[in-house]
Amino acid sequence: MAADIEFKNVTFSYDKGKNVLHDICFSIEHGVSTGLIGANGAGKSTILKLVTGLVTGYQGTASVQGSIVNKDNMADIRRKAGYVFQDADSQLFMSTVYEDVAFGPANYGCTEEETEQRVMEALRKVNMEKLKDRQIYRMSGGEKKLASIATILSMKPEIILLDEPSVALDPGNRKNLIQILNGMPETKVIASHDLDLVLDTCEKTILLAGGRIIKYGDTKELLQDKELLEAYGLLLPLCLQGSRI
Amino acid sequence: MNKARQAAKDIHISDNAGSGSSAKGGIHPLARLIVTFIYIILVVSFPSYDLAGLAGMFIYLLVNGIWYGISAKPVLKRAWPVFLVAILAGSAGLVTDREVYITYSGITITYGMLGMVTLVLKGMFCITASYILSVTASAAQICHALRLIHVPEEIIMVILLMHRYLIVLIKEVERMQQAYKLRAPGRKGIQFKNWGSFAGLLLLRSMDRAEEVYESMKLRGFHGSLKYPLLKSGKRASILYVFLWGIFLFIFRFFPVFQIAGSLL
Repeated sequence: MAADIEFKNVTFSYDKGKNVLHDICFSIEHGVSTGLIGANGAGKSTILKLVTGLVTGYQGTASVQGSIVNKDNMADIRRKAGYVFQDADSQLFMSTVYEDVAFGPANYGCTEEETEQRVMEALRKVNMEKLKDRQIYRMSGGEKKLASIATILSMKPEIILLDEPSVALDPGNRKNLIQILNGMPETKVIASHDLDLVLDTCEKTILLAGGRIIKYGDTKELLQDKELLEAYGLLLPLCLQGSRI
Repeated sequence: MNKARQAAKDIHISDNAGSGSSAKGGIHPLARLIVTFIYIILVVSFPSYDLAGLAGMFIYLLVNGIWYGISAKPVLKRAWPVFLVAILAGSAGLVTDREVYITYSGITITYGMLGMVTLVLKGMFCITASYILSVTASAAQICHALRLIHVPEEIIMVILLMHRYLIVLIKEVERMQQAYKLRAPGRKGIQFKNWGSFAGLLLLRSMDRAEEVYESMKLRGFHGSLKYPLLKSGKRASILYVFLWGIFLFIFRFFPVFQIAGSLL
């Protein structure tokens, strides 16, 4: 069976010149939650955008459940892989939570009843059923983030890509997010600087630096390697740093 | 409140007043759009001096205003430019149309005055009816209604995308204004010398943001044609709504209801 996401010798540059990704090779199996970590500019967001076809013109082979990421397969890939933007304000563009969560299913041709069913199911998964008629501009950052995830869940993707999901969340909302992410059975790829979140939610982790994969392995093992992390501009997760008082 | 923030809030309020998973009062947006359209056509079609007949059309605004809980203040706030234009347009009649209509207690009212007041009222009524529609149906709902009456998809798309882009633009203005104010305390507004860079940066930032929003739409199946979650609305109630208001408006337009009522008393 094909891996959910597979990159074979993928190289990419936004402009002709400096490569943002160099010869990237990895595969992510179905149902596995994988963290993408690395300093700013390491190529984390680019990988996520490449998987969903938001950036094109790469060299090598990138595939999602066996379908090569190219123009012909884009609709199919986007149905399978949902992308949660870093900034919830970019993700949410309709007036109310219901309208935004319903946008995807409605565009994919679901009937009115099916759309409503999917919306309610997605909102239930993120504990937001009661906020379905809430105006988006009246929502807090944490609520917006959960609504963003619901907009993707309503499309029933098999893969969920999250770009910095814990940014601007308070500890309570962050904890809630971790619980929700851990309760989602889909394959997840989480690009984040929040190594504690990665530790809590991901089985595997890819460490990137300068557009190259430095290490791909077990999250617990990788995130305990202080020297390796520090060599690439990262620090041990706070929970592994011990008491500093 | 910051003007940009107020503008964004107004858009959201108008967006949200008609949104949700069910239509308010069970009336389909198309029914409201049709009635508003009929209303505007009939109001505009009143003769220049038929002030008494035109006054009857106020009942529609009054009933809907009460039904949807709309206060007069925001309407007047939005209608004043139309009010001014109507006064300017009607003021020509004050000079050219001096024929006396009535003299009461030494006060002479000319046809020109009557024409001006009628024109102002027509403008106000049309604006108010449009406002009521806009706060009882979101842009998406109105566009959905337009689609049902086979308005070309390209026009609907342009309306919707302009609506979305406007929100993005206003939010960026708000962010930049706040950042500016925090570093320029005590200054009123943005200094003239900074307008160029402010406008340029605003354009670039709003384009970036608009691109992200567009990407988000594409990732959720958007490919040139927007689908909207349909509203639960009562078909019978909507038909009845159009029928009753239609009859009411036609009667007030084509029959001198107040005069008939007055002669009966």
